[in-house]
Amino acid sequence: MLFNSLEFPVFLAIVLLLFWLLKGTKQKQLLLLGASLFFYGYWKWTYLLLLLATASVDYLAAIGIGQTQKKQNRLALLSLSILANLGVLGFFKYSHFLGSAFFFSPGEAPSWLPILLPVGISFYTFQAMSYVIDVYRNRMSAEKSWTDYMLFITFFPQLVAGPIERAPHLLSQLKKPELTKNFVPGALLLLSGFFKKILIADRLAVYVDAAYNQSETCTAPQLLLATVFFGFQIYCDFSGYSDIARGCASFFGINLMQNFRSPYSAKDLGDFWRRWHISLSGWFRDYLYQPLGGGHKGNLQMAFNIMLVFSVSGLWHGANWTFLAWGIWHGAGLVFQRFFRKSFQAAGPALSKISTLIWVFMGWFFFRVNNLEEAEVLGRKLISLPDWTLNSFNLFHSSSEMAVALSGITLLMLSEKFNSDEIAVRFQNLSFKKAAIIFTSAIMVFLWFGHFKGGDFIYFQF
Amino acid sequence: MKKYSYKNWVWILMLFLLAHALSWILYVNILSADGLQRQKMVLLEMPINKSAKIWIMGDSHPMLGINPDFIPSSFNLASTSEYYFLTELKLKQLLSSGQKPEILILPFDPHSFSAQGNALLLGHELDDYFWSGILSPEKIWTKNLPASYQRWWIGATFFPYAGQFFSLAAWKKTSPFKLEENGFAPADENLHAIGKQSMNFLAQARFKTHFAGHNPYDSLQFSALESILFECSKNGIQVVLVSYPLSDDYRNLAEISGMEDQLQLAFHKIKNPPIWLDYASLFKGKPEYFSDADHLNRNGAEILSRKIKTTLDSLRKTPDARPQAI
Repeated sequence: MLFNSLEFPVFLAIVLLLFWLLKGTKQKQLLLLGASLFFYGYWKWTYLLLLLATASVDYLAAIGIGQTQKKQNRLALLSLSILANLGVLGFFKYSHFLGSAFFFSPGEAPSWLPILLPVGISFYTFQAMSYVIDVYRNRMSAEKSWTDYMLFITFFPQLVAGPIERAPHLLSQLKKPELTKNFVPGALLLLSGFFKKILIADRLAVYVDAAYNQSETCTAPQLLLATVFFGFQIYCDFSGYSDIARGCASFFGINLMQNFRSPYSAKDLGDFWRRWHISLSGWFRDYLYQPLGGGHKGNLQMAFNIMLVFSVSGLWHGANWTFLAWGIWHGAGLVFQRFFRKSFQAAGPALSKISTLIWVFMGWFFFRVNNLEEAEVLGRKLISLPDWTLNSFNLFHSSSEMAVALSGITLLMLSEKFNSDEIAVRFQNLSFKKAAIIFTSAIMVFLWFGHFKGGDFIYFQF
Repeated sequence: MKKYSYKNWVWILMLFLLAHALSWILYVNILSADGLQRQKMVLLEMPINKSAKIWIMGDSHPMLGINPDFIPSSFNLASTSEYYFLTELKLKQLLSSGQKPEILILPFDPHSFSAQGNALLLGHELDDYFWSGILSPEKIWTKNLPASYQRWWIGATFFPYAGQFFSLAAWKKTSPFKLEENGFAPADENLHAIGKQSMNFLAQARFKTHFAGHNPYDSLQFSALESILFECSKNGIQVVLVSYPLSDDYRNLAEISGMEDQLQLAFHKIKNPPIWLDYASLFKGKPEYFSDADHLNRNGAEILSRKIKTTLDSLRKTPDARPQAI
């Protein structure tokens, strides 16, 4: 089920009503679990079985690890769990990619290979792996309750596109879900999420798709603007999803982690990755970069570790060479920045910020382009001087659409100057009439200016 | 949190309903009242149409391509992006109101079976208010259409203004198309004026609009065409399929991509194939008769209309003559 579908508000309202009616904690947990399974199975119930099966393997493996002190046995159970997760992920997500790279031509894949990628598979497998690894590292004890564990894996607000939560943070909260006494912060988060998704991301997508899907006809300035727009589109799309997820979870008394913190105001590339998709960056830092030695084994080892982590991170996003290129692009940028840290510091914060933004937005080109061949064609177009005519920048149907898109981006950047918790407090301190008028006006602006053409969230495909 | 009590939420709801009602009235009665499809709808209700013996239906190809002034007793009911699926609904609506033509002219172009039509409808890019009045939830149910159509209907009926801010921006501005008598909406642009390279770009862009990301052979459109043919046969209406002239660049793309062949295959799949007039290459090497890559301008429409009139006259004289493609 999509957050931006008509079914979702109905679903959420029913779940909230039932949750309010139920008194016991166990009943509430079971309701949330049932709702989460329905939420996922509504898309394709057969993949729900896959989710339950892999989650059960992790649940049993973690209990096994918790019950034995033998290092070999613990390691074997951990390996089993990781193999199960990576095996499922590899089969469903990477079999076509690897097969077409080494064994068969594209379009001639064996019929037994999966066609559909289970939604959110990269998110829930990573969340499950972090849990089992944490149990293995004795950072937490294994969860005994199957219901609690399943709820941790399937909790519907964050099941299909994160944030990728850690068990010590989420599991303890899910043991005592309570209806919130204050719906305002959650409602504001929902409004913010839908604003980002429907008012900005989906509107920008019209331009971006027009440019990238008509690569032969679009001009270099259009392509450049489309790439910048894509940077904002993907940010609004994904952070919008995270806002909605956090807003929904807050209604049940669950505080999900913040996944984005104004990434485009990062002071350098490292800072960008501490602000962008924080839950995934943290995952790679804790479960891959640091076990490899991090930055403590000399510069060359550090450079290798960074390149490896970002290559894997790129491939995590999708089974395509373009994502690998995007990961390598960021890895290379980070290595360069680490090696020339002093020069960056000497250049001043403004230059560092600008160069980071340019690097990040150039990177979005690899993320958005359909394949490497197209990347080459479009890349040549971007740097070809004769194409640089500015007379036909607009790819929207009308200039008013461009005005709405630019206004949306401006509003977004301005709103990021404020802390969302402060906004919630200020909103609650307003007189009722003022609050009601602001709330209604916001909904009407949203309805008139939104883009309601049913676009999926980009991160669903990962 | 006394401030956000039950009564206060009801107050917000009332405020929202008021704003919603005002938006609805503003959009439906003022902003979109001059929309081309709405104008066509108004024309359908006028008694003058009842005298028309030849109905021209379909999408923008016939809308811009046939001038009824040159085909006596004809009326152009075609509207933008009206694929077979929508034409079927409109035709049945008209027939049920007691109006009936002798001849129905339908488009038969490379993109006629593309799923683009459904995508446009479901994406709220057509006149929601107009189509949601014809495609009711009951019809959606009986036609066994996917749930996305029910969702579309809810949005189209209750929130027709959603996402329509550009209607506000374009308020009071002149509509790009103006209807002339008998439903003709001519275009006055001249493709020749934009230069050869731009012509090629335009053709690629138009071709992608029709096919990129859409199933080029959507079974829903094919079954709608079959249904139209069945309905016409039941009512004694002769159907004539017309392939409209295409610019050289667009036609080349259709040939290279195999869409031309697909069209032939589709024609042979029709159980009782009607007459098919193929004018796709009528204006070969003559971009001056086009307004863009696949639409005729006023001059092109005049020539095509005269040709169709001559052919229809000959068909009327020899009703048994049923050439597969002329």
